[in-house]
Parts: sequence; structure tokens; C-alpha cells
Amino acid sequence: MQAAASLTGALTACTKDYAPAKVRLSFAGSDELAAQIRQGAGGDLFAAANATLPQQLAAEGKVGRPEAFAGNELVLAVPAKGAKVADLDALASDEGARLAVGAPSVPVGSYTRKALGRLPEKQRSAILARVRTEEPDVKSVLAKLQQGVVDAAFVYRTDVQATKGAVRAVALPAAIQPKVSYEAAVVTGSKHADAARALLADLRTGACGQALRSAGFLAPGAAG
Amino acid sequence: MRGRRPTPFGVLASAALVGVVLALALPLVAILTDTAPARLWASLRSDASLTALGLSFLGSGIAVLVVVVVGTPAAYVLATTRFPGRTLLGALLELPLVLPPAVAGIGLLAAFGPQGVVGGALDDAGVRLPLTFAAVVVALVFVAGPFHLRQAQSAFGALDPAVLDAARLSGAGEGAVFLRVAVPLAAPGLGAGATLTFARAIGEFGATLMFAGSLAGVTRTASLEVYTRFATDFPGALALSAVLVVISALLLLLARFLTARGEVDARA
Repeated sequence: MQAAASLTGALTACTKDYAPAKVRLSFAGSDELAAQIRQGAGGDLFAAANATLPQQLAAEGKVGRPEAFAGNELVLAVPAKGAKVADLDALASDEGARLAVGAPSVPVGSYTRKALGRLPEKQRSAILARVRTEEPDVKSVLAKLQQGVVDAAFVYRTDVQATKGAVRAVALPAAIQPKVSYEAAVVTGSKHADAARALLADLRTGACGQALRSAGFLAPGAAG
Repeated sequence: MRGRRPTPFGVLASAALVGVVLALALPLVAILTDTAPARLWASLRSDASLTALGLSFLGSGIAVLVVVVVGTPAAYVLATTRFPGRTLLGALLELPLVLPPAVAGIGLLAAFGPQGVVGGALDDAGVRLPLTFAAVVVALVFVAGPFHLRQAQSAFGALDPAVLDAARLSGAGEGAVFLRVAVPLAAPGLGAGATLTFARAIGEFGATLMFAGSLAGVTRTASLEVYTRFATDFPGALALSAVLVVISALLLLLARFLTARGEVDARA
């Protein structure tokens, strides 16, 4: 199974005791995984942090029909102690603030740009001017914040939850919050297609679905 | 003269050579043959590729300069003096050659990050190194510098001590012996070392990403640009990869040529 980096914690936990089959996991930015699948280096199941990539791959015949299995929320993450910026306004007005985002090709980066695109032009360009690095996946974005190299980062709420209090999430205004939907699909030509389909069902409603919910992921289709 | 009939060992060894060539060359040849010349040209002319290549060359050039200026005298001391712990120190200085890139990146952050040993003091002074172009250079020096240190040590080690002593007897000070005698004699080896450092710096990826981040026009070097494009523009990534393969091949050829010259000089 090739899964988005943001799913790391929850899926590692729930697949360890997954009875029907032995699951091997590979985590990376969804865009990188999609490129691997395009180049024929696909696994059996592709779980992405958006709907666009699985649907593109499905249109190219590289994967089967994608199904939504979870949702998430984009947040502004800041250190729990001694945060330099408190919210989007502070980020826009503090010229010394440093911001980490995902690269445009990775879902967290494209959600970030989508959210910022709904801000007034002046605030958007001020925030984009704070960007010091565009990281290849969401875990690297969060790592830059945890190392103290940046003052704020756009990540998912579940990533913040996984830091166990080291990092605090600042909710984005509902008006700019993008709909973060995770979709998964069975890779075309998989030798374990049945097992992959069973695992996909488990992601939606089984033990893995519960693990995702308790890690803070939203139910599939839920707004936000 | 050896017999004309191939020995079983000869056949096996030749087969091994063919295997080695196939395993190592195939991915490289594939990069070059999969890249249409027109596509290569178009990709090279794209601003993002040019900017990234420019950053790679600039960063690697500065790194080589630092490594040569500081590393050459250091290698001379290591090669020509005996002191306790010399072998241990030599091994320590070569460690970055074999460290996983992620470990190199962690090390740089632990030292120069905002909570790091040196970085904390720098931060108090208002200087924050990570995510800057200077951080790229620091990462390149750390990862690629040992190539020059190693090559320079063996070049200085191969010098005949009698020649250095003769210079001292004729009244030259230690500085003059180093600059006027040792460096010119070891020049091919030093050139090879600097070239290898440059080649390694051009290819650096992991430590740079972890320590300097990835921002177009600031810290995104050619190898990071390849990685960024891999997901969205595979042909573009392939074309830039082809350029890097050609540059690296030329640099390695140059280093080989210089090393061979150094050996001829040493024997003469």
C-alpha cells in the first residue's frame, strides 16, 4: 500500500494487526507516489491525501475507481510555547515571520494555495512572501516547524494532533477552509486486487477507519 | 605471455565486468536515451531549470573555494606530521562521505539549527542559517569537503620528504615550503580532489533539503529541482537529470585525468 505521508501514524498502527493479509506500507507525498505508479512502480493500493491524484490516475487507467475514505482539516500550525505568530493576520503583518508550506504539487501545498487564494489579495501576497521553503511532503513541512527553523506552517489538523502537544493548531476561517478529502484506489494490474479492495473497505468502515477517526481524521464526505 | 585460451577465472571475471557495466550504466544510459534532444533543449531553456543549475554551480563553486582554502593546509598537516590520534581524526573527517544524507541533515540542524549548539548563539545574534543560501553552502562543504581532504592528504603523502627537506635546508620557511614546493608538486592530486568535491556538491540532495529547505531561486538546487519536478513533470525531470549526468561524467573524467597525471609525476 502506498499512502500519503499524513496517514503515517494511523495506518501504521491499524495495519500491524490487520488479520486478512500482511500489509506493507510506503509513505511519501501523494504526488510522488502517483508518479511512481505512473512509472509502473505501483503497489496494490494507493491512498492519497486528495481526490485529484487518484481521479487523474483512474482516468489514465492506472488505478481503479477511487473511493473517499477520510477527510481532514487544513490548519496553521505554530509552536505550543513561545509562538511568534498567533494567527493569519499576525503572519501577514510580521515581516520577519518564517513560513513552511508544501510544494504546489503535493496535496497539502495545493490546499494551502487554495485556502490562501480565498484571502484578500494584499493579505495573500503578504503571507506568500513569508514562505521560506516548499517541502516535498507534509511531514517535512511539520519537521521544519518542530526544528524551530520556521515560525509557522500549513499542515493538517491530524499532524498537529500527532505531535502530542508540541505544536498548536490555529483553525482557518471557515470561509477559506478547503475541503480535504482522502481517496484511495486499487492499482491496475495488482496481483492482490481482492486483498487491496478488502483493505480499502477496512479504511472506510473497519479497524483502520476507526484508527483514522481516533487520530482525528474526519469521516469521508464530511465538510471541513 | 599468457596463453590464448581463456582461463575459467578470466571468463568469470570478464562476465563480472560485463555485469558491473550493465548494472551501473543502464540507468544512466536510459536517462540519456529517454530524453529527446528537443525536449532537453526546451527544459534547459526553462527559467526554473536554469535558475536551479545556476544555484547548483554557484553554491558548489563557493563550497569548493572554502574547502580548498581551508582544507588544503589542513590536509598538509594531517599528511606530513605525526601526532597521537591522527588516524582517528582522519577517519572522523571522512565520516560525512559514508553518512546517510538524512544523518548529515540532522547533524547540521543539531549544530546550526535554532536550538543547536552553535545555532542558538547565532540566533541570539540575529543570524538564522537554516533555509538560506548560506545553509546550502554549509551543507555542501560538510558533505563534499572530505573528498578534497582525502585526495589532498594522499597527494601530500606521496611527496618525497627529501624534497621538502631540501627546500628547508636552502632556507625556505614552513609557509614557503608548503606554498612554493608542496602545493605545486601535489597540484594534480589537489585538482582532482577539488573536482571530486565539486562533482559531489552538484549532486547533493538530502542534507540540503533538510537543512536549507527548497525554495525556487533561493535554495532549490538542480538536484532538488529534479525531485520537485519528478511528480509533476517527469520529462522535465528527466531532461534536467540528463544534464546532471553529463556534467558529473565530465567532472569525473577530469578528476581521473588529474589523478593519473599526479601518479605519473610522483613516479618521475
